[in-house]
Amino acid sequence: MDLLKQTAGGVGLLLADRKISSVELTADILKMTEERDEVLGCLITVDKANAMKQAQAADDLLADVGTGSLLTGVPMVVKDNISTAGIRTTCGSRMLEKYIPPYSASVYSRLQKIGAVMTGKSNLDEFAMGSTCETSALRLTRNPWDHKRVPGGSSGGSAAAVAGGLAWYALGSDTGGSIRQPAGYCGLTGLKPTYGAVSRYGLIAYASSLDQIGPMAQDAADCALVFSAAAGPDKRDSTCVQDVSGSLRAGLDKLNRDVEIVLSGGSVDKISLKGLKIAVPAVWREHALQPEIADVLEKTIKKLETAGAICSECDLPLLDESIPAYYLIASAEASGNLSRYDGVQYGSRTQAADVSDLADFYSRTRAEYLGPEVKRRIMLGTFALSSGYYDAWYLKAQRVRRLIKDYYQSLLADYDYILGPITPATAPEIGTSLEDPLTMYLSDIYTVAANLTGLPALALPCGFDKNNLPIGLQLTGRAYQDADLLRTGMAWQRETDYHLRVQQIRQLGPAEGNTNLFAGGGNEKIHQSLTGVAL
Amino acid sequence: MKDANRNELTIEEAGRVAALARLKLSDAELEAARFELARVLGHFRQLETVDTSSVEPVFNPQDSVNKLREDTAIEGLEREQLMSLTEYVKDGCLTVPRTVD
Amino acid sequence: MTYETVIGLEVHVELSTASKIFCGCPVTYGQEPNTKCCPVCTGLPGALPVLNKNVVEYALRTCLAVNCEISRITRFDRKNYFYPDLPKAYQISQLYQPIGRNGWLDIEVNGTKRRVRIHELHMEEDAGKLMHDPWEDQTLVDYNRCGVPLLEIVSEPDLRSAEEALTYLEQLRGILQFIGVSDCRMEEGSLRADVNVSVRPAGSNEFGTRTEMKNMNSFKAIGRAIEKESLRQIELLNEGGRVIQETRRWDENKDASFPMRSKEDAHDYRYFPDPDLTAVHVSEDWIDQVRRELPELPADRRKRYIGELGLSDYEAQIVTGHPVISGLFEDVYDLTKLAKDTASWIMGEYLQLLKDKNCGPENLSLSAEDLAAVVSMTAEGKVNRVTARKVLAAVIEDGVKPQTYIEQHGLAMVSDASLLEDTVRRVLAENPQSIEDYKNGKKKAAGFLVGQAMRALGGKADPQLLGSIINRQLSEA
Repeated sequence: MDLLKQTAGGVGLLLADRKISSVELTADILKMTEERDEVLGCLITVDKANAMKQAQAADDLLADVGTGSLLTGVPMVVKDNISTAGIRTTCGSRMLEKYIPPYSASVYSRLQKIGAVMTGKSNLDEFAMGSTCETSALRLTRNPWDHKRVPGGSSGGSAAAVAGGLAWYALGSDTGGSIRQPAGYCGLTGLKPTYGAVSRYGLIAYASSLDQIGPMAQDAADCALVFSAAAGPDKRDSTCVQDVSGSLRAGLDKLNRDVEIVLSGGSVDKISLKGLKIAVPAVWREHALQPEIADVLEKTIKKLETAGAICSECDLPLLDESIPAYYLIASAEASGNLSRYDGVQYGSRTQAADVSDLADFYSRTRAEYLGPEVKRRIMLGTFALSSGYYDAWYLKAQRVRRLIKDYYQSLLADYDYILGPITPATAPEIGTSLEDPLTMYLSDIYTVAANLTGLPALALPCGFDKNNLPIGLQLTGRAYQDADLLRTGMAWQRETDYHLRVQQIRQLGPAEGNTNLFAGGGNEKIHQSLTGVAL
Repeated sequence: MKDANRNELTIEEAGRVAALARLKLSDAELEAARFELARVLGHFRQLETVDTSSVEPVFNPQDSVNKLREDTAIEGLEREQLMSLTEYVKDGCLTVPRTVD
Repeated sequence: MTYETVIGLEVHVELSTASKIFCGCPVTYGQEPNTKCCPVCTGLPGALPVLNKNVVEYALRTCLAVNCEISRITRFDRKNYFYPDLPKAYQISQLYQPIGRNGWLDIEVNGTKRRVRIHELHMEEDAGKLMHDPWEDQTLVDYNRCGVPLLEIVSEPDLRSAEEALTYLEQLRGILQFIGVSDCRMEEGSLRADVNVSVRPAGSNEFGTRTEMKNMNSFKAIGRAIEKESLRQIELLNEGGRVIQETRRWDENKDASFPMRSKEDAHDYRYFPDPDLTAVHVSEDWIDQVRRELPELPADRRKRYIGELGLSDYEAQIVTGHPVISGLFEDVYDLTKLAKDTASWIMGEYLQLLKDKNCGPENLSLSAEDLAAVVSMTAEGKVNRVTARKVLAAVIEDGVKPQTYIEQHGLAMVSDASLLEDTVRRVLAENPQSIEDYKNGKKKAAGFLVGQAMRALGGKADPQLLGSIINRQLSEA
């Protein structure tokens, strides 16, 4: 399908101009999903009837001139921890395998209002706990770039769906890197918005003070469209910002208009890297990064400078400590959030015949239907909150969080952005990560700070490793200035074409037995032409 | 602060945590959990080196206050919607193993 | 050895807000199970709490009424435990920064005043209800009560007898009703108390080991349970045993308490600040506004009634016992300016009516205007009290106006002296024996003659005037 080369905004323009209809497009993508998803394993639930109904509604909306948006009628997927009324929402867990929520997440309702078309619910690490999508109890998702490899996690199904050509954009959620890391592994652009920019109402909680819903797509412009539709105050989420001054909204509306201009072939002055002050923490150069990632980062810095940005080295204390701080806080909150899965009101319930008492009933239900990684984090969190340990572990972590937050704030008083890698390495092979939880936790080192501090962070493609697997960079910006961050992402993507490579992956689809689409000399040409920007 | 300066985690402590969390673990699972937890905590002890005296904890990065709603009653879910989430229902109530005397 | 009983009370009171504490579901009682629920109060995955502003207002009102220090920054914490009436497996409550601390309430028992300190006051959500299924060996769960706002008011162990505990509770209930935060219907569970009891040798400064009886919801049971529990502990100690710290269940039918099965991991609730809720900042302005809107408290009202209106302690106590009664007294007094008469009617006829009808003051429809009319007519001598009682009954039963009823039934009191003189003359003439008896010292005979004259006048005679005429004519006879 030729349209797979298009971005969401590009398809949106065609739909808005009535050159194609959403009903046809959705039918095509559902067929594509059927063909591809058996191999890729992106989706836990495909709801064709719902998708076609929404496509019809989108076409109706588009027929009524001026009422649609650029996302109206564009097929997408939603991470399966975001509640969708009447459509199964499993969190990748056997505990919620049959759970059909009676209400929708605010973000889904918002997208429905603008005529979004959801074809399915995407796979994730169980309850969003994991970095590879492998802790999902329901599906194994493959990285469309190389089927031996993981798509990343926890929003791995969302990333693989966009990279694999099953959707033009996806909603993910990010608690410690769960949008940025799979975006990086799959050559996509992904935004972890400022905490409080997007309502969490209906997002099945992993860690309430860290979770945030955000967009994943082929480029920053698409992310801007999705984020703009998703963000906004919600009276049902106390932690969602009111945006009393309207500045977040104003910034997004302006960005949205600019995206439309760019998509229509116009040019916008303000999309530029010129004069941006970018902090580059020196500590990353000392870290054990995969050599190509270190390389690509150095080239990225040079490229940014060539484009007029001012990159300066800076300190970044407490980087190592961010991991324990994050895991203690996230697990503590999770231990509370996941206690409700007790088999009483919804979800699975133990079928054991010899249940001795209520405690046994709970303990068996939870042991039988929650997976090992979830149990591990519940144990850690329960421990950190238990009598005698609360101060030393949980509160200590929250105090270290303050120090990290304060430091980032001071850094962002002097710089516009903080630049860094997303992960220490590119996508690992399936089956190599879960054995050692601690090592897996440590690989989140570059992403958790944005969650601890609540700051917005954007993952952007910036190169490839020797296996032609995508490498991403991360820009962390000021709170509530997500629009500026996305604008900068667009500027980066105007200067480079790393983000375009995924078009090829989307078009190729998962050929039978394919393990690396770009492996071997045959595809080297594509590589050359796609990354042919002078560095 | 009890035992916080110790790397070891006894099997009894691990068992207590599992019981608190309502997770039924076999002996082997419990031993594995104890080992993993001890290892992770051992690494996480690096937090102790950070001076956090007179540092206020952050409970939520969003520091706005007084997010209050007006006291207005609205309709919620139909009972049928609520009860359709499980098969364990009787007389409009959920059922669980006997818990009251 | 003589022992002293030490009692502390944790009072849970359901607030009478329109909606629940963290969602818009209505706060009601006695509905069909699971019909007043939503994703938030039933803890569905992904649902989030948003705090009801009125719950904070009611808590502030209560803090002021029981003299608590108000926290300028207050937060909610999660209390984690598994139980089928708690759908999230945690209760949103307050531990680390409760809204109120260090309050007090003065009580008086048998002329002795005691200041009962209040350790803290906090907001929290109520849990659902569990019912035993009599047909199968299982428990039924109803979530309607989940998320109903509660205040928990925790006293210090400053109470020394069942009587003191009940006085404290009555006083607290009166305050809560007066300031309009709760109807405090114990039979509906909107006021419940956890009772902590310990004993110690008289004169000792150390506390004994305490036991707790949870969820008590009648004054009678609380009083009885305290008495029996302190006796049980004293007997135990006298026999050389020791008291175990435990939770006990009071069985009203058996008039005894029994130990509850202890949970293996009791009391590790792993409280932590709820990350779904932001802090509440209570400004000086907010407190001032609540203070300005606070009605006069019962204790202040009593003081005023005794000092300014000349009521006795007892009268003042009774007419301020319930906000509806107190409001009625205020209004009737405003209309009549007859404090003693109004108090007398309220304590007599009015309370009797409530008792006869077996209803609460809020359920008896009697306007202040009507009662004021009855009180005034009686005081002015237009009707006698017996007639006035009939009038009051008719006002309540048939909704007629007192004046109309009296006119329609010709009940206005006979104060026509000449008519009374004639009637008395006739009655004396018909009862010479009584006159004889009276003269021989049987003063009771006068009463008989008053009765005869009253009957002749259809019961409408002004009793004072009639009495004085009979006495005069007798002495002249």
